[in-house]
Amino acid sequence: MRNIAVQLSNVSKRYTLHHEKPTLIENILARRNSEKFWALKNIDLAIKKGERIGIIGPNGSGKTTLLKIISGITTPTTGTVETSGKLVSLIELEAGFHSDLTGEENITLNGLLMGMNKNEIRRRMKDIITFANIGSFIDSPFYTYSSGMALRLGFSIAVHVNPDILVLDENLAVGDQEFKKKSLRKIEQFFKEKKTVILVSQWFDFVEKYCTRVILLKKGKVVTRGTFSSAYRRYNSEP
Amino acid sequence: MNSIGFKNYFDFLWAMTEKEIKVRYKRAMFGFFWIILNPLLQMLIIGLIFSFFIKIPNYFLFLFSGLLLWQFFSLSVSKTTPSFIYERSLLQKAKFPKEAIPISIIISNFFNLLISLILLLSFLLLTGNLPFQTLWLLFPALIWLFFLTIGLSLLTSSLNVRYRDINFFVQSTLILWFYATPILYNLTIIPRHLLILYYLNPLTTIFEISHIALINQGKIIPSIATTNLAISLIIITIGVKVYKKNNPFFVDWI
Repeated sequence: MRNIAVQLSNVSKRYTLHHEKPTLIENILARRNSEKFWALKNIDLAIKKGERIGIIGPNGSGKTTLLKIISGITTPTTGTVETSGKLVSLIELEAGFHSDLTGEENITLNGLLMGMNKNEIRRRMKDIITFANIGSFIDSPFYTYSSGMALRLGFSIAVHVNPDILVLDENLAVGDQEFKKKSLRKIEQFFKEKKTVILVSQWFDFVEKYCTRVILLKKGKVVTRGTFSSAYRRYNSEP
Repeated sequence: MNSIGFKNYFDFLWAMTEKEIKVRYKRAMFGFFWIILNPLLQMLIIGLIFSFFIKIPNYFLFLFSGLLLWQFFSLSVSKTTPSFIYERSLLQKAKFPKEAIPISIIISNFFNLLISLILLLSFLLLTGNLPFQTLWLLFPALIWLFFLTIGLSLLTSSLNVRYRDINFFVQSTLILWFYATPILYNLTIIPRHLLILYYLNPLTTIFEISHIALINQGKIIPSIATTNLAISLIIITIGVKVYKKNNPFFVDWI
């Protein structure tokens, strides 16, 4: 078990569909039969340290739910998730900033949220600001930032957490052309450092190039696991 | 929480609290001024009207001390109840101890309460009205109020994720609750048959103790006090339990 970074055992996730805001009154009065569906069904997956897992699958196959469960953002309905090491997910990069706080104050808050401690944040503050290329905006309130700047800052904080396990959603590279290159270089550097990486992407060239193992999800179930080519073949064939 | 140590937990909680305080004080100049102004105005208006009906010595001071505590309680509960919904972007971003969201709101309000109380105490000291013998009673009252507010907020904010009308329910309950708490009056003028209500309201004894502590008025009825304490502990326990059971699934509902 020492060399396992993420262990999913028999993980299933059921969602309740609600069409409007759920209320107590409705629940008491109507007892409407709420629709339920399984986003993931009986997933068993052991990810070794240093592995780079690519998760592919059509829309609605449960890829993002799987990432959210691995990141601990949500919890499986049944089954267990164990992770060992510091995990950082690069999803919702631009979220979680407070518009009235300055860039620097937001870095502190967001850094703590992502799992850095105060000393680490203090030490890495300069690097985070330089990497995000925020410049003199760093002392301005966050509402003056453009959406590109927000994304860059979010990305910069996340990669400076120095995680053992990196979880990547579709948008591997963010921002303008120049920043895209820079962020890709940063991610490639994580690959070189033999970090554990779990990524979801429709960008198959990237998956083929970098992932050591590919998992194909369809309708919440693992269809194949193995090489990219075998997964890709099954991707296009019907269930 | 397993990956976050104890110190980091408090660093995070403190950073969230700092955020609450900073945001409030940045938005409005004299941010703190508004916090003291609100109960002052309320005291004046309520005092002018009710002093005709309620004969309590030092009625304005009596009112003011109660209104300060009430402001802490009602602001905290009304702001924490929808707090998980408002902070959905944080919840969707990373795994972290979610209770920091409501608790940081409560700590920042508590901080404001303490500053207001220091101002009130200095006023009492300057005018020679500070009751030195009973003042220590303020500590148990504040601690009780603080934990009751946390327990209740954990309950209402957790339920509000699943049932959005809890927020409306809480806002209207607070209006009624204000009149059902000895703020405008004290227990001495309450007819016997209505006293049952005050057994059920855990704020009763907290406010009575504070009145004794600050202006040496009021009385503690032991049977009411113990019932209030028991109900407070029940609310806190239920709040913590409901939060613990539901928080792993908050993200699915927002």
